[in-house]
Amino acid sequence: MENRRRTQYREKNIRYAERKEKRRRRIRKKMKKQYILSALLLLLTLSVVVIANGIKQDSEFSPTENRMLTQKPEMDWTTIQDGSFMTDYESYVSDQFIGRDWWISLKLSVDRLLGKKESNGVYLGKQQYLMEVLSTPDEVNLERNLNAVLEFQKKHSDLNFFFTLIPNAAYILTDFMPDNAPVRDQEEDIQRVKEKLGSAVTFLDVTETMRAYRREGIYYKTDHHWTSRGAYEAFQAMASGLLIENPATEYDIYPVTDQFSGTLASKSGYRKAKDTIEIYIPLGVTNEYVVYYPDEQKKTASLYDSESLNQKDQYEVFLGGNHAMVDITTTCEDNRCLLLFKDSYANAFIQFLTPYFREIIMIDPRYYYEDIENIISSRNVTDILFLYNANTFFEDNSLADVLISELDETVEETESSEQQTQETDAETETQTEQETVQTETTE
Amino acid sequence: MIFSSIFFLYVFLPITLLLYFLMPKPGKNIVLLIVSLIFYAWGEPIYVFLMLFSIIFNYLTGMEIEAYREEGEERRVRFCFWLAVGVNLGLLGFFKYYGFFLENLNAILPFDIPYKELPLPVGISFYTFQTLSYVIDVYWGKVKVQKNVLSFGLYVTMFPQLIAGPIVQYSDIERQLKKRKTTLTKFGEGTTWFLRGLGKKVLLANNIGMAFDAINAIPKGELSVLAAWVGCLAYTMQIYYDFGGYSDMAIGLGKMFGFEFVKNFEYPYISKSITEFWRRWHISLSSWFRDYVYIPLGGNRVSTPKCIRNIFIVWILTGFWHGAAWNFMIWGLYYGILLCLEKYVFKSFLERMPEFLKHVYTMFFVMIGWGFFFSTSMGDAFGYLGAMFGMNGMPLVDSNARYYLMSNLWILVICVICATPAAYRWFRSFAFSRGKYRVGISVLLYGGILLLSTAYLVNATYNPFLYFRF
Repeated sequence: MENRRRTQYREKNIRYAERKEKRRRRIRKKMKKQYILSALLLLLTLSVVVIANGIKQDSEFSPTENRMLTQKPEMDWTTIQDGSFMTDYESYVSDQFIGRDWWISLKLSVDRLLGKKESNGVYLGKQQYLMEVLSTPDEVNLERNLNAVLEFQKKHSDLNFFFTLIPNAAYILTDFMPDNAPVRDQEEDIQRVKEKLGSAVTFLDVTETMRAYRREGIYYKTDHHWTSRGAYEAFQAMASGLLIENPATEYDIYPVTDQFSGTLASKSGYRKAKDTIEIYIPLGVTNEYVVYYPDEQKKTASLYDSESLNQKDQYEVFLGGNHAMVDITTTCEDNRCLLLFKDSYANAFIQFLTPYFREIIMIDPRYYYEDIENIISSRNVTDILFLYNANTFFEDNSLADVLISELDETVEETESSEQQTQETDAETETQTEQETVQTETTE
Repeated sequence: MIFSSIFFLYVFLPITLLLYFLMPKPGKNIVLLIVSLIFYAWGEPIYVFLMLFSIIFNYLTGMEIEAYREEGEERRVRFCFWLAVGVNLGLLGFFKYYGFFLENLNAILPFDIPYKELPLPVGISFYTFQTLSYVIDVYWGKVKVQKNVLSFGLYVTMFPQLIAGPIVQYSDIERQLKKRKTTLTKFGEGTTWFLRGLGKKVLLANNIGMAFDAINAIPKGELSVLAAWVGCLAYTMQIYYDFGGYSDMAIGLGKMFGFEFVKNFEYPYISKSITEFWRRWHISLSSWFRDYVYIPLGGNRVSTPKCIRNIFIVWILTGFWHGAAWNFMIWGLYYGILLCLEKYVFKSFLERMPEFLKHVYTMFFVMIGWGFFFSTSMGDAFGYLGAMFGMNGMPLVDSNARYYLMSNLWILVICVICATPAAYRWFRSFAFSRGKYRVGISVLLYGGILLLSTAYLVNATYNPFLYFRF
């Protein structure tokens, strides 16, 4: 009895050990299979990709990324020594990689799947809205720009001064932002500007208006600009502030493209949405004008550049993009002449202004290097408007230079005497700057 | 050059594999040595000469120690040995700590010594420790001297472990330099290691790193408690997958060429004490300090005060090894204190704690430790750690916290799961149990990692490798 139980037990143990050994052998076999298959997978993938990359012709330009691709770098001793050959070669391989666009879109889909709400500084909002992350004001330049505006106003206190900052999509379109996305309080920043400018400059605040129409498509989904509709609503809100009586309310609206894929689509890589660009033609007012581009010495009778519709950035349909200066003369009977300091937001806004001014001179301080005082005295300017979107204005470092180019004396008077040494430095700097500008113009 | 780049994967690696496997056996080491030198020179075209000097110097020292020993001139042996230690540490000290040293000296001195901070040669902390381990082992008679300069050069430069470890000790690899087997199976095993590492680095570390960067960029005064913890957790995951993934890739590449390197990470975040954490984290570095500093000082076989001294020496050095900055020193000191407390004060108390609390306790202190580690200054570190405990007067939760937590939730969950052995154990049992297509599916998963990693690398506007700084 005792013996039998013992043998039974032993047999059971042996069977168990056998089974275990068998299982171990099976796992080892499967592991080996996995290893061999993995090895073949890697070798196959590497060979296919290497051969495909070898056969593929290098391309010069990537339309989707809108940039020149790195070309095969030349090898020589200096570029190897400073390592630039190696870094260039690495970006060459990566830029010319087979199916680059496909890989990029694969990565973006995975990001989306994982719940990412941002791509390269762009929020991926609801209903395919893309919105740029708001910029933090550059305090030094902001202070400098606003002081320059105030000085400029003092010097030309006989003119009407208007100032407006258009809030950006990420602040206004709260309904379409990703949940809980951190947004800077742009209204607070705008209010600060308003307070600083005080009463001498009429500040036209459109934040409330924009907020009221936030569901009406006032910003492009794929671009950082406002739409013509956005500009229209802002114009309606600003008209009385701009001393325009009986602004037109009826417009013919023409869509000029429904295939617009703007800068934010390129920046983020999300290209699903397409926008429609519309132009607004006012009814019931005389609206004839000539647009003159001094840089290109070109005159046209239209605010719209239909050739831009064939290129990537279709927003350039408005005035063909940014120019240092654009001079629009109209048949308006009112004798007002508007000097407009602006960024690209104004390009879509100008179509609402032409019926009410005899002349509109648009200055983009980022590209303008000439003397502004000449224009004011020679053209009989009556009104001055600053129109920027908040994001650009808070990072701008060019406005002050255009405004104070001739104001050195005034600046010296107003600032405290303690800083005089610094000022002389600043003065000489501005002078040298002027000199360089002058030499540039003479060339 | 780093492994997680398109250039390495699809240009350097294929060429290297082709050359290595086409070469008949006697030439294989030479091929590996040459490609390794190119690998290094690709990123450091000038400093490659520093490394060559280091190789030749240590090779000759080894030979000399051997020669004097045979002649019985023990004093000369000692002189050679200490000279070599001095030169190796001197080079490391000069390139890594010179700027830091003068900066602090200038802060104390009434006058300023002008200096120019040198760019740090990549991997110098790693290969110096390897050459040191060789010289010390030869001096101790633990290994035979390497007479073949090519083999010795290969030991130092071998590209899989050159830049970020594991720190291979010469005794571990001595035999493999002469004789090793490369089979398709072993190559495949290496492939799986490599692809797992690639996925950890590219898919997990880089992604979660972006969350940390975003949170760390928020001014310390505006961080809510939850946001600070999410940021710290993100970094905790980033550094593990970044460094652990890179080590896995190194081990995998080593296997492809027939080498066996020591494991560098063994699921550190499942530790139940700080002591255990350091047995599982960066194992090759802790073993190096144990073998070449702690034990020669007497280890724990000396009186308690001396043992405590030894622990502090090792941990201040460990901290300092990570970078020439005070916050790394504090980080090392912090671990020295924790380990002493665990060893001498709370030992029995810790043992009686419930398992769950042991994990919480360990991770809590590890995460606080990373707070010192990722900050660029002590002020920063205290600012961030303060925010983690609401010392900045911010609320517990704000929209920032919700946003970063929710938009990274999936990736955090994946990171946490993969930091435990459960995920990989499940994967193995899935792949190797009965069933026809299971192995095939598991291989396809590896293929998926390669596919997605390639996609992320092609799109690599963001691919910093953290351990380059050390």
